[in-house]
Amino acid sequence: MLNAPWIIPLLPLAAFAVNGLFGRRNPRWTGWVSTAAVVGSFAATVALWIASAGADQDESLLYRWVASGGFTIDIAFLTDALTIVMLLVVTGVSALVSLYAVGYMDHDANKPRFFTWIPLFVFSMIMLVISDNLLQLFVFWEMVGLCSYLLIGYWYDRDSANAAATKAFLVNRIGDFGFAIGIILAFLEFGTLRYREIFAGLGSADAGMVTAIACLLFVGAMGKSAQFPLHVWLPDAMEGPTPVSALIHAATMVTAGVYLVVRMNPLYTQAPEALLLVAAVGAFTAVLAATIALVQTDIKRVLAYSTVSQLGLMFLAAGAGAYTVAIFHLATHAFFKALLFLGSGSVIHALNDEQDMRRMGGLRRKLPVTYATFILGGLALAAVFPLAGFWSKDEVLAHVFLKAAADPGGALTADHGAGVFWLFYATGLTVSVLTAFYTFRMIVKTFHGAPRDAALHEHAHESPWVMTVPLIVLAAGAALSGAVLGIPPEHGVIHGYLEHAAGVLHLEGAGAAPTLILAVVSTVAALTGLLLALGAYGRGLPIPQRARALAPGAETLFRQKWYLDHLGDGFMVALTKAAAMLSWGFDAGVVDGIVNGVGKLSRFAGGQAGRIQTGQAQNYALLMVVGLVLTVGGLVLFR
Amino acid sequence: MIEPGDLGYVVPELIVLGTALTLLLWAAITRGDRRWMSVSIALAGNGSAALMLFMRTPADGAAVELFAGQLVVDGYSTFFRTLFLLLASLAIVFGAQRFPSAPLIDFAALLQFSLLGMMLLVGAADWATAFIAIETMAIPVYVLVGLTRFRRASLEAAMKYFALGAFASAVLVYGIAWSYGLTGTTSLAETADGIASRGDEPWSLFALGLILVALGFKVAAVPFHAWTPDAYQGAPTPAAAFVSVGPKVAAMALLARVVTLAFEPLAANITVALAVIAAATMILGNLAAIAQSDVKRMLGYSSIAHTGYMLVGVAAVSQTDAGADFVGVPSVLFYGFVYALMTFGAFAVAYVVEAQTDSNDLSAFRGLARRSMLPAAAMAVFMLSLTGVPPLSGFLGKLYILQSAVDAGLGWLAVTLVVTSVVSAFYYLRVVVLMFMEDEDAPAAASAAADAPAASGAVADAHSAVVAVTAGATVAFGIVGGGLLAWAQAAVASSLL
Amino acid sequence: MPDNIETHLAFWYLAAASVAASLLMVSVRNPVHSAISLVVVIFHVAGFFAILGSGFLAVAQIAIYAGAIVVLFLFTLMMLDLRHLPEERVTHRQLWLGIPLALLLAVEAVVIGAGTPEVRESIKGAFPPATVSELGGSAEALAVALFNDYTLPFLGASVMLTAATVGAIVLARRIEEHERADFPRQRAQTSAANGADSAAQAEQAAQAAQESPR
Repeated sequence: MLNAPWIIPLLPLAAFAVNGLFGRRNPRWTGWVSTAAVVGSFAATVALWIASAGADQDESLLYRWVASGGFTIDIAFLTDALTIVMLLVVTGVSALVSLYAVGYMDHDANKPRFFTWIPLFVFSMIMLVISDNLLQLFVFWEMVGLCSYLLIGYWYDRDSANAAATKAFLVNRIGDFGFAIGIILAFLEFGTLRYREIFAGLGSADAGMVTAIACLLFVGAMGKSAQFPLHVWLPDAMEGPTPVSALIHAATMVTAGVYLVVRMNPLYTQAPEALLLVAAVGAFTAVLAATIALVQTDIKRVLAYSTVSQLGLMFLAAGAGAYTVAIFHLATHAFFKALLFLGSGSVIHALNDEQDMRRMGGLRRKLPVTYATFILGGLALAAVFPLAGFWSKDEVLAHVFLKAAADPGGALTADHGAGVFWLFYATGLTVSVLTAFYTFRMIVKTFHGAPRDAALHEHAHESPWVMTVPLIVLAAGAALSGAVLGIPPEHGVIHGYLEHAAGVLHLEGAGAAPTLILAVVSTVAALTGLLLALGAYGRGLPIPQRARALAPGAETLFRQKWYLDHLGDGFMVALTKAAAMLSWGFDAGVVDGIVNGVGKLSRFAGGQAGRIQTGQAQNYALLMVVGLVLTVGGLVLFR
Repeated sequence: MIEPGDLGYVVPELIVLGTALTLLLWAAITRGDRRWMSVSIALAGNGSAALMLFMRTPADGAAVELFAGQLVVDGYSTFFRTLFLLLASLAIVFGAQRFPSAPLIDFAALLQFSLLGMMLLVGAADWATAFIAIETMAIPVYVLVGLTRFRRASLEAAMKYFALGAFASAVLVYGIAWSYGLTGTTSLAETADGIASRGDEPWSLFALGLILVALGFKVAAVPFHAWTPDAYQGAPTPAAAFVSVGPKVAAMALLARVVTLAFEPLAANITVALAVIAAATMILGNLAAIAQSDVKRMLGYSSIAHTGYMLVGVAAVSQTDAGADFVGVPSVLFYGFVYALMTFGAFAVAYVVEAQTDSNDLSAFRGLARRSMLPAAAMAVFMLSLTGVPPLSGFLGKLYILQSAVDAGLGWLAVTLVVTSVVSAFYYLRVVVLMFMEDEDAPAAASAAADAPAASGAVADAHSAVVAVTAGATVAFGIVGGGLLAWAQAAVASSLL
Repeated sequence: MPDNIETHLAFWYLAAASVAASLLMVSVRNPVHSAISLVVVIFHVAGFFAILGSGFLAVAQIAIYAGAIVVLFLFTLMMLDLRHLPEERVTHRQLWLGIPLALLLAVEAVVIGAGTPEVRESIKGAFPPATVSELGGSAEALAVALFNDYTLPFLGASVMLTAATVGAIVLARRIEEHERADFPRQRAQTSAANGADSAAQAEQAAQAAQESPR
């Protein structure tokens, strides 16, 4: 019983079936069915965790889906330490969010639909992280994408929700395109898609091919984890209900890309160029999203850009070879970002679905629990000692520093650094300052000062217990998880635990002294941002004005999201148009063109324009004759 | 010479023929609404034919040659005959939704004739039988396309299809004549011996080229495909559904037999020719499908694209060493089976929308999920499966085809298949998006509400059953596709290939 | 084929004349002239059978094709109103590409033939004149082949013809008003074709539709 991984996905799947079939008739119970199932999953995961303690990894075959020749595709469970950590995060956060949603979605007429997709998402996410091969991962990668799509467009009567869902869908197709090609190349190179066999075949694989596969898989990760330039969908995805934002678009699904890179770490270790790409994209995305978050006015969009930024940091860690740290930050981030989203949901709920921070303010007395937990989450996000974010983010920066410091002169390999990591370290510090700044800008604007909209403020009320309990639990996680998992730095619980997962490496050589200095540096960075924000928005110091004078145009740049949405939209529009034009041109110009063109050609040849009888059937026949001549000629000439 | 024992093996074919004649005679002597009865006759006939099919399959699984080597009963033909009996039955139920009494009997009788041709075609072991079977299959189909004679589009489509089909038949006969002249035999197996003794000399290739072109027309491969979208769009929808799957898969079955049996000595040349044709078919079919706004036209180009995928399998077959651990021919069988079910189902849903809105335009699918959930869900299954999304059967089909292509060393063709499949997602998923994500146009909804389908309850239920069966099979063969593949492999192992 | 000069002369005459008559058939404007050219073609093809020693086939060819089928064509043509033929000469614009294509195909055939010089000797059939006379004449040889080896296709052909007859009746039957009435919401869609030529094509189809019930 303890070691029964199949029960973990089974419970949410059952909840999906029950809610899908009977939900419409009994809408009241759907939320509880979903919550009970996910809590059960979480319990089963904990049981599995306890049972498997000390064991390296365990694979169990569930169903042999495809078996032809020597080639098989299995639905199989790989339960190593990495999987279990991911499962704990996924089921734990899902359980809390599902409970929270019972309250949040209480008045929604379509909540059976909501509580049908949520367990389906949880099921798919579990199957994604528990997979032992790339194909199963890809299938459920698409399934979580589908759930995300359905839930972003949950309020389908809103045009913006439909547009956001479509955008998420299209942008993810770009990523998945790369991902699919990567998987195919992997199959061609290794002849298998099972992780273990791929890793075993790495030694004899072509280096260029490995790099190509690693880069293409990362393209998939960029789409799912919203990395530049495929990040544009995530902020728009905030059109979905807030619990969805917390669960799918902050804590779990969007981290699947990070998980993919970490899961495939032996592959990436063999492909240092790909790792450099991962780090570069991560660093750039982190700073890009953080600057955009500075000027957002919608509370959920601040958090969305913050998520993009934090995901960038995780990729930066993975790109520096610190896979364990990436997972560590993933775990702590899941706590505090889910907390912040749920807290923002609580605010939004209290204010009749108002999301604009310019109409908030002074809510701390009205929403004491939300405020307290939100502060904790904010401090964790800003990486203030001793909250969760501090431990993990500090390690990210420390590893980037070590990577930069490690033998920068040598060839670019896993053990050698590159000078550009100094730049990444500086970027990381900048992001720390910015993160603390926008977080406290958000907190001050939302909870402090005078209410900016009296009517809304008047009706604000604290949320019911089903919503506050998850907040409190998550706040505890956000406060303590970093210290529990990560002390002492580099050798904490999570590091020791993940060492069991084959191949999850972390750089050695972090002595106590540099670690301490680096920790102080990053704390100073965080506090700088925090104090600047408090000064600017709490005390009314003219910091923003100074900044504007200092760097005119920057604000506009950030407000316009570096014009990437325009670029992206323009690109998508152009792409769609080009595809349509191409295909239409193909149809009209090539298909019909060949067909009718041969007719026109013959008309030209005959000089008989205007007086001819015509008809497409004859043109079709002519086309067949062309094909006949080519086929026969080709066969004979190229025999 | 007809040995009395031979007739025992063709009882299914005789039943199908008897059903066709019964329908015609019965139509002559009765009046009134005969829809229920004609569907019953056809289904009873096809059901008992299927039953006899399995009772009369040789016990040891070996191929049996009948009628002086004209016809062969083997696992290969049984596999396809089962599929065709199923498709024809589904098509008749589908037709009952669409046609009033009198045209329905015509539809059913012609369908049975065509079915007979298809069943003979997949067992043909001689060019003479193959040619007669192709024509028996094709002539009723031309009429089916033009069955709604009062619509110009329908007649026009039938005329085009007929004229071009006759042209293709002429090319086929010319090719057969060359093959006969070179080898002195019409038997497929003996043709192989004759060709082998001549090597890849130009005249053999000339004969091969003519035959490939003619069969390329029947399976709608580029550049012999031009009739397809017109025919599907003009045909009444049940006929289009049948035409898009039955004759195409039957001709594909013959093509696979021809390249693995009669022209096996020229396998290397066949691979090159078919690979080029397959690539052109996949590319052009998928790109052209994107531009379509009519669902039947879109499915027409889609069916062209799927011809390309199947041709990849056939091209790979002729490259693979027999006996090696290969998916080869079975992958084509598997693909043909699942392709037929999912495309047929897509047409069935297209008709649901047509009945509601009197339109085949893609925009009529807008908001279908809110009007009718079952057809919309089924259509989503078909579209995703046609795209090749796991875990649906279309994915498995493509996977097996890919594997045979890779095994045969046709890596570039495999890549083309994957890339064009991704392109195909564009137009398949558009339908899904329209159905689930967009609201219906107000006028369309109003007219749909005002003109509720006139069909009686039982017929409408039967049509829902057609949709449900095809959708269920599309899902089931995706999840437990191993069984179907095992059947296909056994069928090929016991065949005259 | 007996290898003597008379037979060779006969072959080349028959080949040239049948090709010429075929060209005439597809190029003359008056359908009656076309039908008569077809008769000429059929007679010459019968000549091929004759010099191959298959007298029965030659007679059958003339009796069935020239006697029955072409006469049927002519009857059909009589029912049409031939006074309204287009005034100007009908030229398919496809012709101007079709001719080069046909020539290309011919060139390919020549290239192929050049690549296989021994083909004429190696072309074989199951029924050279010697075998036919051994079997007791062409009628008997044909019967043996048709009713022994090719029984199934022979029977199949009758099924095929039945199907074709049924199809012809189905298409040609008068369109009952209730057929239309049963499809109240089925618009006559304008045309299956897209592209510039569809209107003309639809006109043709409409004419065909008008003619078929008669």
